[in-house]
Amino acid sequence: MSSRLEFRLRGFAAKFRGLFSDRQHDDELDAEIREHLKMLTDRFVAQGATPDEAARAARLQFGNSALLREERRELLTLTSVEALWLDLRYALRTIWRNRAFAGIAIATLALGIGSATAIFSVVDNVLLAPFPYKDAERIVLPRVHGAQQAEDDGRQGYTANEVLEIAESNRVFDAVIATQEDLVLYKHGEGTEQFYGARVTPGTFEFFGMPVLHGRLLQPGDYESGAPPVFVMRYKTWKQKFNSDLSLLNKTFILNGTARTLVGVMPPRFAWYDAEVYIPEKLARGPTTGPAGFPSWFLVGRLKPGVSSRQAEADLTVIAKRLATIYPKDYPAQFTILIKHLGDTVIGRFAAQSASP
Amino acid sequence: MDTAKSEVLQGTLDLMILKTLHAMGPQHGFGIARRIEQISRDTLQLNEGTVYTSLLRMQQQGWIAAQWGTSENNRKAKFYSITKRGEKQLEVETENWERISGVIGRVLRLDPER
Repeated sequence: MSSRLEFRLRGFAAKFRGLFSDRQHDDELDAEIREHLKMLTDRFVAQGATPDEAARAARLQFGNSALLREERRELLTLTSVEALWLDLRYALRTIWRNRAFAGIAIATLALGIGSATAIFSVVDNVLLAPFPYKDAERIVLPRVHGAQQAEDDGRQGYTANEVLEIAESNRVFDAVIATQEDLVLYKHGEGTEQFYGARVTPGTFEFFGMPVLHGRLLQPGDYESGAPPVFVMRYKTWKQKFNSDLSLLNKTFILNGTARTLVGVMPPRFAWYDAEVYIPEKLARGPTTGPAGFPSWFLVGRLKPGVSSRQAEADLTVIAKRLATIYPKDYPAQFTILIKHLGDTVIGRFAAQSASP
Repeated sequence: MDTAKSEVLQGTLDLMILKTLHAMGPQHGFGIARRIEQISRDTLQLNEGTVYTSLLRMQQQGWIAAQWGTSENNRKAKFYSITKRGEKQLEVETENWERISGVIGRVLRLDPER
């Protein structure tokens, strides 16, 4: 190492340490100066000067102690404020002189950083982990697609009879669940509020495979008719409308006129159907007229491992054709069942393009 | 003021202090100033405060170390001593000084060519 460089490096290191211990050093130096002056004064007195003369002579011989402190500070200070200010002004002047270039450079950096961040957020949420659910890549949504309909069109709602038929007869799904929108009126001391609720069929929480955050999930018994009415709440609702109040667990809420017990709160990422509350319901075969016959159940299945979309569509189409002979009103003249993967509902056409060779 | 007194040459104070500490062992600032005064036989005008700046600079370079102690008249004083690195530096600076002063001496001895 060149000794010049070494000298500067050591000086820099000392200044850096000086950042942390300046105060104490200052006091020490003052004490040293005081002592020195005192000894000089004593010496002049011993030589026969009056105390006043001696003190003056001592100060003269010692020199300017204010200057000394300043030199000292320079040795101990990393960068003086003035130097920093000069550097800053120089930088700004340079930027100002090359405005166009600086502008382009700054805009380029801003766009680059911004877009990289945005793209990564999207990729992370959409492509890497769009859903926190178990085997999410095998979760599919079948729809009844009429021959005359646009490619993406088709009926996604099913009647209770259809759901049960598909659940029992298919050979391609591990599990099938259905969800129905339910606008829930919540009545409390101060009035009535509305929740966007979802009726869910047995096995729904097992299907998504997410643990509960607080309390418990819905269990098979909860779905039976005659069981004590219960429900589960979404995290966001619990947090925003109820201040994350844990004491609400096992409390009773009047929902649509029924006293229901809150048995569980789901973790933040569980947002199935975008619902705020989940109410258990067991489907039963029944009348096909009136509200019961309205295809309002959103059906979701999880493909067995190794089953392709084509196989699933073929199998489901066979079942649907049979249903169409029983309920001809609910089906177009020509149709097939098409399925869409849950993930594709988010990335849509982009996925189709990126997946095609 | 005595006109015969010279200013301390820039950069030579470090060398004088190093040599003083090398020769006399640990000293406080006042002692160092006295020693330089004594050696120079009053031909050098030294602002004694500058000794402290030099001491701090050399401390930063690790050439000397400081420790609080008690002076001969029983007062608290900071004692400075030369370190190993300081000894090495003293050698380098001494050689340097001898070379430069030799050159200057030779230059000054030049006679006008006839």
